Amino acid sequence: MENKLLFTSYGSRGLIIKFEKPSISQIEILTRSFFRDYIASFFKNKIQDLVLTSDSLTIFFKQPPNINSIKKNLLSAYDITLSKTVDFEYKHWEIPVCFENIFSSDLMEYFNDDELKTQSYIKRICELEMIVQFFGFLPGFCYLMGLPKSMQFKRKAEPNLKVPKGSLAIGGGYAGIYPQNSPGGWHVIGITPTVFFDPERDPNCFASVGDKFSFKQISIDDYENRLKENSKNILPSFNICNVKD
Amino acid sequence: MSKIKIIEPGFFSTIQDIGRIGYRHKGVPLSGPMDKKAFELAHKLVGNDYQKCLIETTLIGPTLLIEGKVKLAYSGAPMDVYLNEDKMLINKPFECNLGDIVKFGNCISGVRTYISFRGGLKVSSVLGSGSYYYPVTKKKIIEKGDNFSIDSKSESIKYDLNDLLAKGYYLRENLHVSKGPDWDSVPSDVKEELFKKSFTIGINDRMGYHFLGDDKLKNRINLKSSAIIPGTIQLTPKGVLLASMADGQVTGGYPRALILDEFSMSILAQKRRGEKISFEIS
Repeated sequence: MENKLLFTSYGSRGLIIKFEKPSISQIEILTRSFFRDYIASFFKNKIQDLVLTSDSLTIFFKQPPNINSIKKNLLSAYDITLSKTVDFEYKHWEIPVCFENIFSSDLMEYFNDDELKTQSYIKRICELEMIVQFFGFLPGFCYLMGLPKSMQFKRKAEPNLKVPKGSLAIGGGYAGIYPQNSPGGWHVIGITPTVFFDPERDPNCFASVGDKFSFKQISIDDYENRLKENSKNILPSFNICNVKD
Repeated sequence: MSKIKIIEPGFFSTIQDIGRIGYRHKGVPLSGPMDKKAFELAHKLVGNDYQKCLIETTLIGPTLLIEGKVKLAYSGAPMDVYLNEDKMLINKPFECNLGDIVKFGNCISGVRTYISFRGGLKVSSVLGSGSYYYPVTKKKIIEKGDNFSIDSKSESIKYDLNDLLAKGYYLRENLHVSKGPDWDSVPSDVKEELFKKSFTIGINDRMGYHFLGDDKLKNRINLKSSAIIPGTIQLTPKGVLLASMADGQVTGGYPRALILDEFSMSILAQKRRGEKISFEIS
């Protein structure tokens, strides 16, 4: 496992901790997430935000920190993180997705209306287990990794002006679900009735970094019924798992 | 309790407090005022702390019906403001009474005006902040007919009001910047180019400002997505500069070349499309 960290200041109150490599496994992501939580509890009220991405953790302090004295604390915190027994718990979520043509126009377009290729792609994506690597872009937007090379699409040259809320989309090596209507340059392949961010719900965003996602195909009727049921209060089904298992 | 009612909302008026702190790890931007200096001054003038909610206007201000006794002030971009028939001056607090109409007109220059009320507007807090950011908050802008109560019981703070914002503080063309975290990945000819000339402001909103570049700024820097704070200027492969502002995304994939200082962010928040800016490194 990696053990090198690179520190870069970001403005007067930001400190970027760069990991040697982008995270490539679930254990790596969970380890970094544990590192983030450890730092959060170590510095408690001194921290405003901690943003984890694929190869960095950025700490925003409330007041400009003394970087040199903090570095030592961070390095020892990282050693503690790495020595932790690997028994992380995570949630495996089953996300219902409707892949009907009207919701997967980008996929059909990509395969030049080849129904067979489209269906095969849908079948394959439903067999995948994807992992939440980090959040960004929009409230509740998770970057899901685990897409094989053969299933990756380059981002669109021109973004769509309106990608509907709930759209499951592919952008480069990632899959993601638009938690709200938004412009976007990813290829839309389906839609879910699951609400990914609701400030009035607790937790407002059910997914966490390191969680696993599987997609379950549902019919258009099922999709519409779930939308009507006010699905915002219904979380998708999940299992609690341990990486040891 | 005193209240205000929105008779006309203006062009794009929002409620802002200091911002939504502590939710960036789930993708929620900070929000808060675009011109922090003007926001702070508006609050100071009526003795409020900065946690209070006020109205941020864009180009055209609202018309308010006052219900009760209210002290208010405005700062930032100057505009014609009338309390009933009387003209009210910028940065001079004034008292209003039941039935008064306060009409904020068009910006004379600048973009954003901050209207503060003694005690602050009562706005339901979402994730610790009253700042509008749709769809985290149900509302995107204030609308005709909206009502706000005023928390007039809260204690008034005495400020030293010597450091008022100078008239036209935002007219300056050059913005002060420091090196961003990805500065070292920017090729040296591109670095030089950034300080050689002025840039024209393109599309802009509360998320950010575009500065139109040219072919000399084109680059092939390829980085992983990383955290972005408001004030960061990213450089796109096509050579466009993107300054992230209050509602800016929490992550981004373009190199974070420069960071605006706080005062320069305030200046930028008062600039319009087509105006020029340049950079000065400090």
